[in-house]
Amino acid sequence: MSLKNLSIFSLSVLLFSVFLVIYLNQENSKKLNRIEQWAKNNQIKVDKSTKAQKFTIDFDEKEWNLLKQKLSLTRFFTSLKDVPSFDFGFDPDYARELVEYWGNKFDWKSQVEYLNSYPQFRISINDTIIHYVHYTTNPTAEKRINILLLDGWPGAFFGFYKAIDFMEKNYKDICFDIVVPSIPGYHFSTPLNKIHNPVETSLLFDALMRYLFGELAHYYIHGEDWGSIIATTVPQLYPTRVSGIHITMPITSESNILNNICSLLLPYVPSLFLSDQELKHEFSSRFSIKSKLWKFWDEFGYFHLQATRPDTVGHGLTDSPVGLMAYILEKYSSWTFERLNKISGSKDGGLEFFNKDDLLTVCTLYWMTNSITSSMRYYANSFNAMLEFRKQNLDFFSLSVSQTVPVGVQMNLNDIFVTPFWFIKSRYLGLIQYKIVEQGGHFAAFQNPELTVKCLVDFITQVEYKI
Amino acid sequence: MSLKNLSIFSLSVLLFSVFLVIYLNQENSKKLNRIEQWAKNNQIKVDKSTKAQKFTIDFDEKEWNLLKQKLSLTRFFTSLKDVPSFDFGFDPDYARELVEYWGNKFDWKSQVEYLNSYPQFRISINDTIIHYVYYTTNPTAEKRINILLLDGWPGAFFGFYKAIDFMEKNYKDICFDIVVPSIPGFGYSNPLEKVVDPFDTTLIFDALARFVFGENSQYFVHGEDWGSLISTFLAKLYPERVGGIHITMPPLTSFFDFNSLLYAFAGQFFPNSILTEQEIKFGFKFSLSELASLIIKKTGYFHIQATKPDSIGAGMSDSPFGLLAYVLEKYSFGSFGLNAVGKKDGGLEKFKRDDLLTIITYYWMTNCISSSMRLYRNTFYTLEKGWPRIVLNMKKISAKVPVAVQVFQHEVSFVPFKVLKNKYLNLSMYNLVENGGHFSNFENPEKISNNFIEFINLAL
Repeated sequence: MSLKNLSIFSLSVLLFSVFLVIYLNQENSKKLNRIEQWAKNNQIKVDKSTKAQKFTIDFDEKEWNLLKQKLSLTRFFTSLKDVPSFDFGFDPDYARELVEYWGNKFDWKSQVEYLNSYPQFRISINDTIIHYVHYTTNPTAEKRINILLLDGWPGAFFGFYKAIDFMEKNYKDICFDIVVPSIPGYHFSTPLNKIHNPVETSLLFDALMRYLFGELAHYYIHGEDWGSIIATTVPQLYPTRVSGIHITMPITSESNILNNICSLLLPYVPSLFLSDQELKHEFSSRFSIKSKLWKFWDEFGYFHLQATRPDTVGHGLTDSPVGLMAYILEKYSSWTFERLNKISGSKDGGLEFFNKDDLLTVCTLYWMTNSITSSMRYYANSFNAMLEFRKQNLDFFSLSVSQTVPVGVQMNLNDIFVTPFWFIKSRYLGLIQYKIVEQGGHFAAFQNPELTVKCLVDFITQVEYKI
Repeated sequence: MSLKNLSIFSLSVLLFSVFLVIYLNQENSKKLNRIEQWAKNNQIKVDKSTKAQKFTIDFDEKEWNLLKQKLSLTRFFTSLKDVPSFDFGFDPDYARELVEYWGNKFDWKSQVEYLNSYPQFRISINDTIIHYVYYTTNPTAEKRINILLLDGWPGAFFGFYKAIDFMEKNYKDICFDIVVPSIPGFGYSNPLEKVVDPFDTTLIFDALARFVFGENSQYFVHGEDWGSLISTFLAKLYPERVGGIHITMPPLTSFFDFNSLLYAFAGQFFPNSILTEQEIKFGFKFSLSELASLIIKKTGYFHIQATKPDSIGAGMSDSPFGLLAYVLEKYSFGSFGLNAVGKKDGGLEKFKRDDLLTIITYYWMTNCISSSMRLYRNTFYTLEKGWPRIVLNMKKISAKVPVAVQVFQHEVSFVPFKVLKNKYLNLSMYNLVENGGHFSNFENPEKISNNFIEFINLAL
């Protein structure tokens, strides 16, 4: 090919790309407008007569005895001798140890007292029950910040208690008005007998905030796991209400062609996309397509199953405490610690790092509320909803978040996936803070309450004092 | 680019492809010989002193009472009202019904008698315990044929009992020497505390066949589910011994190569071009989107079993109800496909309740659900050992071994005849059967028996 032809070819490719980007951006704005219109039409009216009921968790002695009875009848299976422990999932020998503790030493009554240490409420919005914690730190402080703390699966609302405590003690000049709701179908946001997806959760949680803080209220959102997804969706719906979002799991859409092309190029020209810090932490190999596919294969069996047949695995987890425990706690292991050095071959999968009572409280909470299956159905519902919304041209899960909404990201290195700044910025246009946490895992506030709060408040401070 | 340059370029690409195919085929034959050589050198020696122990299943009253106690404590959850029955998995209401029956009406003692109606044995081969049924039909008949009957997950050895009975009654002129082994980790092929994958199982089953039938005796194999994969491996490794294989589920993973993807690509745009008339009539599809849909919608259980079997094993080893729901959902989906959705019972009332519950109780009593699921993980775990693990990159089965494929309409996965022909060079029979599902021995014992025997007669 002659030089002349080559130049013409390259120039046309370049021009084409430019047109494509402009076109995609316009499409993007059009789609965002469509979402905002949909949001206006679907905003949930909170009836004036709606009232939240104060809520206290009961220590149900009968249920607790039934749980212990089942634990005493637990039947185990044997581990493989020629395979490092935890390579095939939750180690049966360690499960036996935990079951022994759970049935004989764990004090659920005290844990219930601990769970009740922050005021809780239940309210019915749009025929859906929502349980939430509502607590105000340092009520006399001048600066008031409304904030939603959202977790996901398999988390629990009390996972934020240490963070709330830290916020109260270390930021005496700020009054945080904190709301910690449970996603419908999770824990005390039950019973849930209909289909419910993250977009609906976003509408509901926004309605909850308007109920608590007034129609013109502004609020921040800190979101982990599903909470990150909800935190991403709310500002797509109501960008003017959300003061800022702080997330640990940014979703950079895979259906964005440009991002995908760059993902492919990344391993070959990493310095083009990654900062020095990211390079140091091997983002180039961890974010490569091959690595992500491999990780997806390794760790997403549960996701695959829950997104297609949640009830099938739900039955065993509803009826067997050890089944529930092994299934859930395996995540607290594999999503918090580095696999090769800390998990594979270890006695406990790294779980001794956590407080045993805290972990068993998570399990007992899912058990007592009989909510494990409804929590898993969220995956199937979301998957179906995503396809439905796409058909209606409401691409929640792939469109960007407006530049007007400040975004802070806490990137925990031991989490399942890492996403570089460059890729986050392409979707979260208002990205102003990006912090890498070296020993951090997926359950950020649960594992590292102080560090998570510091990241969060740093972010909020940046937003507040820039205006 | 000028037309002249374009033609030269295309021609060279074409020539290159032709050379590549010829080269790969030669490499393939070399590899095929290599693996047969390896198989000969690594064949498991069955020690002269090795003895098989007769085996009878106990009716363990204590365990049966414990099972009933657990059933009485079962905790349920509610179904979603706005989702069709069996769409999200095993329907909670129907599950409750079955648990009620299981705990109060099901007679496990009688079932144990039934399970013991054919002679069973246990033997240790390569430090691995193998349980098997060994039965000879019509021992005075002149024509003798050795056969291995292999099932998979979540099947059971006694799933073949009706087939064996049918063969005995309807083929009085043939003496079938039948061996039905259980895969290590399944049922009474326990305890198993080391990694044994389908490839290891193949070597072990061949050793068992030599132990029972004699060192150089020929045998035929019928395989379903994992049994289809193991049958294919047997044909590949020991063509001199395997008289023929009869399978119901050609292993899809073995066909994940460039050739098949080309067919899938063609099937995307010209679906009828890659299918036979009969396949079209049956509504089978083979395309990229069909494969993607299969992987996404149908393989959640496969994915988790292939990565974290112990994490779900805990619940199913401890909760009989959990075990029932998980396993019987497969019998629903595997037998009826999407037709099961919307039905209160997922189609399962077509089967005898006692038959289904016997399978579940068998998995429960042998406490083998976890070890059976580990087979999936083992398959991928040993892949990194490389040669000669050939799970995912299988080339062709030698033309020495005839292959018969009998596909039932609701089988879980489908590989078209045109693609099969490329791998099974001696594909001598290919039949499609209406109205059957994945668990052929369970649902259609007569059809598979007749087809299998027809194939054997053709091969001999």
